[in-house]
Amino acid sequence: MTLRPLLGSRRFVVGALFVLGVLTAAVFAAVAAGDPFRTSETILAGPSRAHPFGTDELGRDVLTRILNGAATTLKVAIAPPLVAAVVGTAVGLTAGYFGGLLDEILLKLMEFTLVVPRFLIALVAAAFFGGHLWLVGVVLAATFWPSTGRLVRAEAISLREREFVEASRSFGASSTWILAKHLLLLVAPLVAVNTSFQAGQAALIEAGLAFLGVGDRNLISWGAMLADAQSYLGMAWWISVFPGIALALMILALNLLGDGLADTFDVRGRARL
Amino acid sequence: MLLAAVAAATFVLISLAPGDTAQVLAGQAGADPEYLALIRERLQLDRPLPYQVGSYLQAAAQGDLGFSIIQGRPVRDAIFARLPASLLLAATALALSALLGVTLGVIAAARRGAAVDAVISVFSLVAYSLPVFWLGQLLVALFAVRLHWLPAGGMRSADAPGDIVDVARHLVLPATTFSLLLATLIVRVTRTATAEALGEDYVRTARAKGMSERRVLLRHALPNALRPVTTVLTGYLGIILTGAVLVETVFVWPGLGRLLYDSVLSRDTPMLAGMLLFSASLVVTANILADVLYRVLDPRTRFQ
Repeated sequence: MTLRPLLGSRRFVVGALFVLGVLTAAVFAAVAAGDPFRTSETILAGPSRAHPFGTDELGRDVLTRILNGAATTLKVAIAPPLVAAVVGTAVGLTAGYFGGLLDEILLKLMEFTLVVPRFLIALVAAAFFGGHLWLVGVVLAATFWPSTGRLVRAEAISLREREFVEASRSFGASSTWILAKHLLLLVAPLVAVNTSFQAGQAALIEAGLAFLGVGDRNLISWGAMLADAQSYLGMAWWISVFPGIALALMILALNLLGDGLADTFDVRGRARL
Repeated sequence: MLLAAVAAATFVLISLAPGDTAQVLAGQAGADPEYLALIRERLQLDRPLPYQVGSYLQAAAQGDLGFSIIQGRPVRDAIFARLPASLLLAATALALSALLGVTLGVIAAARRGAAVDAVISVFSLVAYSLPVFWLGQLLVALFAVRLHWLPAGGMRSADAPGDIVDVARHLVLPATTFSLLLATLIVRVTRTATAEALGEDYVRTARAKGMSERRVLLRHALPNALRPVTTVLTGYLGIILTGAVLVETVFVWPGLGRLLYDSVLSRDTPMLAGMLLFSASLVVTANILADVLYRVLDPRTRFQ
């Protein structure tokens, strides 16, 4: 499996470039951008040379806040889906390959976790335990891995009866060898597609929680900026439009990544959000 | 069985949260220990956790979801009071999204590779990536705040209670927002499934018989594509409560989503536990409904 064909997918390239761009913006914000909390007397001022994206109700620069908010979105979009990919792949392969009682137990566990929509779980957890970013991350990882696991399990079941697995087994290969050498590589594209869609979802959920006011109040979040904007819709469109565009483009980029991966490795239709 | 596990897990999770229910109930001023003890005894908060979970489950099995002190009425009544508004919004949004999604999906499949297909594909991807609360906010800013065409939120105007036209006017923005969100996945699934059906032998046969392309598409390909679409639609039944939290919050729609949000803010434990259980049972019901619909739509699955 080589990664070169990915560069032929326009969707993948555009998505990847944008995510890299946001990453750069987050680093830039941490190093060089102004103080996102500095207030001024020019409140709710429209876009101008001094403030390209205008200022908010406390006179804070909207552009600076968007740049600083990038880190929050990136953290939550990257870490939980990656953890879920590792756990989900491990559990899914084990359950699918070995089958039997172990499979049944693991499948029940995964189905159980998927019954309540993850946004609800995240909302309730954030409200009761305080919406620290790491807590949101834990809830997301805990609810993402079963959907990855279920996909991988189905794939592993269809793969384990194939001739090359039989052949490998007849040469005396151990189960660990077969899982690590053959199946892992074959489910990898599916997991990659699923993980990038989950990243988009994670960004959306974090913003949704912040919008509802149960996010991490110590961090700048695009969702929270939109919540602040709600009260000034008639007076200052820029405090809603710019953070919204940033958030929408970020999610779009992550979905493009997933789309590009799916096209390239021909796993369309099998990966579910 | 699954539902019981969900209910128990919810209950335990919420009980583990910091904060003392008795203290909250006793009020801001604080209360003497005797009063607190009385509250704890009443609500059985002094019993061990497994006992609390057990008695909650026993009551829930008989349809009794407990009593919400904040709402001042049984949880079940509070849920049923909000259900009509939620159903109105959800049903409208589902119908709109199915209509929009299937139409666009079929057009895209029929014109695969053409410009129309590309446009529809980009549209569904962009719409899928739009945060629903931001879209709602933009629509409110444009149509309510700036143009004054439609109300910004709520379900009824204070001066026109019970007027159907009034409710319909309030419904336009939230239903549009919600259905756009729901339609995106339907477009993609319909396109894939219809395109797949168009490659089948029976389609070739129909074409060979000289049937018009339109008839081939609508009579042969589409019905076979509806099965995956049904999966998506029934899947939506379960998540309607979730999606509705954000939509109903932006548009101040008096449905279940809004109730859930309020219950979260006021830490109304029995209400939340009841609603999570209700939402989980919606998911389970939706799965059963999907199985039934399969049998209706696909004769092959009927005699197994």
